Amino acid sequence: MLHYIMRRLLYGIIVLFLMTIVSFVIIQLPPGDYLTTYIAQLSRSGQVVDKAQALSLRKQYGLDQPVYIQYFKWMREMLHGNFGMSFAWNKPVTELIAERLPLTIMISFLTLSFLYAMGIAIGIYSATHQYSVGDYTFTVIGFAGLAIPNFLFALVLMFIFYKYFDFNAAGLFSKQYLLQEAWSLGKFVDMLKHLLLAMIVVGTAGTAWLIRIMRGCLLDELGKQYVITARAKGVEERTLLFKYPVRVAINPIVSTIGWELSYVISGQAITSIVLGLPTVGPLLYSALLNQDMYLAGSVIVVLCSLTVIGTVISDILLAWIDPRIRFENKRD
Amino acid sequence: MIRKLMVILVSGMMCFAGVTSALAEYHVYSTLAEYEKATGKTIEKFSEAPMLKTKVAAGLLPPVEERLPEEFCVIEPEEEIGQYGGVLFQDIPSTPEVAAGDPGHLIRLDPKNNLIFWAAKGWEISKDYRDITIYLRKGLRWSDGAPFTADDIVFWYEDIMLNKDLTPVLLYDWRATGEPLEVKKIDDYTVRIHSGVSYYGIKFVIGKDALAITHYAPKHYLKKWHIKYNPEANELAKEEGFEYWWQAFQFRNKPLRMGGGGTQANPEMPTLGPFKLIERTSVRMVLERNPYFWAVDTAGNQLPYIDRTFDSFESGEIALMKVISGDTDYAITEVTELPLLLENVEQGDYRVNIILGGELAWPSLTFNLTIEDPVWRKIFRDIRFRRAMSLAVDREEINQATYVGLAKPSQVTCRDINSLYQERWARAYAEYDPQRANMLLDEIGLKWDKDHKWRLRPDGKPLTILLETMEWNMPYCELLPAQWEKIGVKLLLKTLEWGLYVERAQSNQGHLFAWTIHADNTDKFFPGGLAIPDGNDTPWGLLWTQWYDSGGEKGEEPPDWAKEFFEFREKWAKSKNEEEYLRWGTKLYDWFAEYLPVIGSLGYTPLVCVAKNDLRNVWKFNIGYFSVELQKPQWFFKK
Repeated sequence: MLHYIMRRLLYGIIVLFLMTIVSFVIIQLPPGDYLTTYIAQLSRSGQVVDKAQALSLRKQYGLDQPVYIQYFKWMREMLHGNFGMSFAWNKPVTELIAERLPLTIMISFLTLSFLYAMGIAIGIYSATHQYSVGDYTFTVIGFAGLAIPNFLFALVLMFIFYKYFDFNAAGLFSKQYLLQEAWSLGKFVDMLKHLLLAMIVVGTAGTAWLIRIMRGCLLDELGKQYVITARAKGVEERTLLFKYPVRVAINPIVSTIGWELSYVISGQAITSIVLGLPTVGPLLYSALLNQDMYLAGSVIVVLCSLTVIGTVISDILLAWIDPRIRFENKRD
Repeated sequence: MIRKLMVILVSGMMCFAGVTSALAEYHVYSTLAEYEKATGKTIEKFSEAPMLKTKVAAGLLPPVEERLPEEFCVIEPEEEIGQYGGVLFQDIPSTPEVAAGDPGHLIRLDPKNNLIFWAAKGWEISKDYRDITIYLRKGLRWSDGAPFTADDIVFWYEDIMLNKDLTPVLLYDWRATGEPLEVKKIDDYTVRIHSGVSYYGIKFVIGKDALAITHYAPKHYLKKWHIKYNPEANELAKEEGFEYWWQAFQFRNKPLRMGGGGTQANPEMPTLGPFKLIERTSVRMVLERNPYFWAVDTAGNQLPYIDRTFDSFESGEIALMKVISGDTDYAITEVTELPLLLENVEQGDYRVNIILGGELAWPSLTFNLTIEDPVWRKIFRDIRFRRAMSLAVDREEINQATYVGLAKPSQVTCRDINSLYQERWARAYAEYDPQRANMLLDEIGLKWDKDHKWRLRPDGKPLTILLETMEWNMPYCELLPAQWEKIGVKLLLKTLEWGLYVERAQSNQGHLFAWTIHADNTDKFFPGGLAIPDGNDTPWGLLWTQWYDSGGEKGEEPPDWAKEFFEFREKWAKSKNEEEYLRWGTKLYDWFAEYLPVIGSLGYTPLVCVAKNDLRNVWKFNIGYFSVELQKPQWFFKK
């Protein structure tokens, strides 16, 4: 087991290193750099940046140096914990990410728990009540939610909430709580109300695959010999269900739960932008548009590391739940 | 039906706005003496905001009489004396780059483009235009209480502008005569800018670029990071995670800005403006009143009235949602949102004002005159071609479709309030005359094809022009293909993203570019509307500019008619007195109207401002969205 974990971690580190190179290169691919975007944006608002100012800005940001030097400087600083400076926000990248992280984690955690709980529960229900009205209804809702683009769904819901429930769901807090620093019950409830929208949008899209996988795997299991035997022997339906078949069916879901770790941090970018939620997703999006390379690069590195760590955790979790994997390794 | 209703409503509002702007006055008196002279009244007692009173009582701040400078400014509120308190939730144009604040410039312009002395008290310009002496307010203080003196201006010029690490190349206006200007301290509250030769432009140096820079810097705060004052500045920078002292310095030297770059402002840096930045994250920006702000209203109340302003960086639908539900106190949006805004006036409890924006041409159309392809080159450079294309633009149609008929069809030229302005420039080839356009194109020899649908180039290929621009200009260009089809020119539209657009604009390969030409709020000084030949917005003469800048080494020599532009421009920049300024300026704008390197369409485009009904003293007649910051000291919430 230990051997298994060590190997996984080693692969993880190698993948991570390659990822930093790839992400840095990709961010540099669009023509121009932060400065061209910045100057173009200033022109848009009526300020002319003459060549002299452009030159001094370029020097200031260190954009006059070749790409690989920029990359090495960035990597060197990162190993010291300094993720570089964001050009657009004039703040250290670590500060920017830290500003948004707590809220992002909380929002994602709430949405995800909701998603998984609902998905698995409905999946089990669908499998045990195959072809019933309930089964069909849930499937239709799930697929509709998946098919409708998130941003469209979010906008429509936002409008419906405003028009018929007189509730402005934009942003994370209502006006009166925006400047209130301390958390209170009122503020928390207000936040949950705003999050309801995000949960519905993300939930309907995300549950579709959970339901179908759960349903499919469980149906496979429920058709097997041992289940029929257990029933014949008089085991209660509920105990039977959760003792073995669900544990097997949940296998694919658990193995992919690790990927969700990075999702927890990136926070569903499109839905966040549309609903105005201050998560890391929109930050990454605007950083990419602006070619704010250190911010974009660092966020991507963080997301990649979390994905890798998450997958490692998944693997370990799987090995723990599913003894077959443990034995498979022992045989090597 | 709705549309008709809207047009009536809007025209009604415009008339009302027009009438009120004729009647409305904006009074800022640079000193108490001026106020007394103009009105015969005086101000003896002062009062301050309750939140500051408590601090004074607790001994954290000196009393208001000591905080105000000896020579404070007097502002007469537009509607009435205001009440203290409140938080302003605002949404001023959506990109974070524009969210900003007033740093407290030395001078500014009022809505009628008259000069106002803001942080400075007054100035004197010598008759030979060699010196400009700026008088500062005695007792003026930074937002942290430290005194503001001439040292701060000298520090800005000598230690920042002239320092090669911080500013590799000095701003053009400060060296237009060939030698950099000198900035001398006469005494604590007097500064003189001196030029070796007569330089009419000396008037403009602290007015222009006001959106981008303040012409001073807090020496007491910044000197710690400057190598001249702190020999250990490089070590200090390294401690803070930078490589060189000037990086740490620039990181800190970020004042509030009325234009782009507002999201970079440094909350720790003191300011002279009415509000100081106290919090800036990537999610929101909070400004709080500056306890040392140096202006009062006519009853002696220290301004501003509002305690705090709050900006959360939202865009698009969210921002609109907040406006119509009444969660935003002040917002600026575009004409396209007008129907939705007018529908929700009752529910959101706000009022909508339409004001004239500062655009001189939206969109502007620029043909690349130094394009490499020889066939295109010949066509674009033919003056008849450009005139024909200008005559073929149905400006009124675009006006109705995108601006509800509120903008003004006009050629690209300076603002009408500018001293140089001449009506004939705005009208040059700006009428809609497709027949004449057709005649001109026939004259050039661009024949029609067999089906008489499209014209052909001299080499037989179809005359297909590619227009490249950025996404927000597209709605205004969409009508052009149909309009130009009538004269047989096929126009293709292409949207590019930032980086790619800049690359194309600089590559000398593009045919036609569309952009927006702005006039900014310092327009009285800098007429604007002068399309730069190698800028990203209007690249009409890239190679010519290269030739000119490199002294003939690179690029391509411009033809004689184009050489005139560079000649006039240089002479204009170096004007020694008003007569020369007017003469060369007129020649320059004449040249533009004659040769049309850039074709304009619509100017004075409308902006929509939304203000909650309890927010008072909001102007109905500002020009451009940058002037919002200038009104804020008098805004208040009426309880």
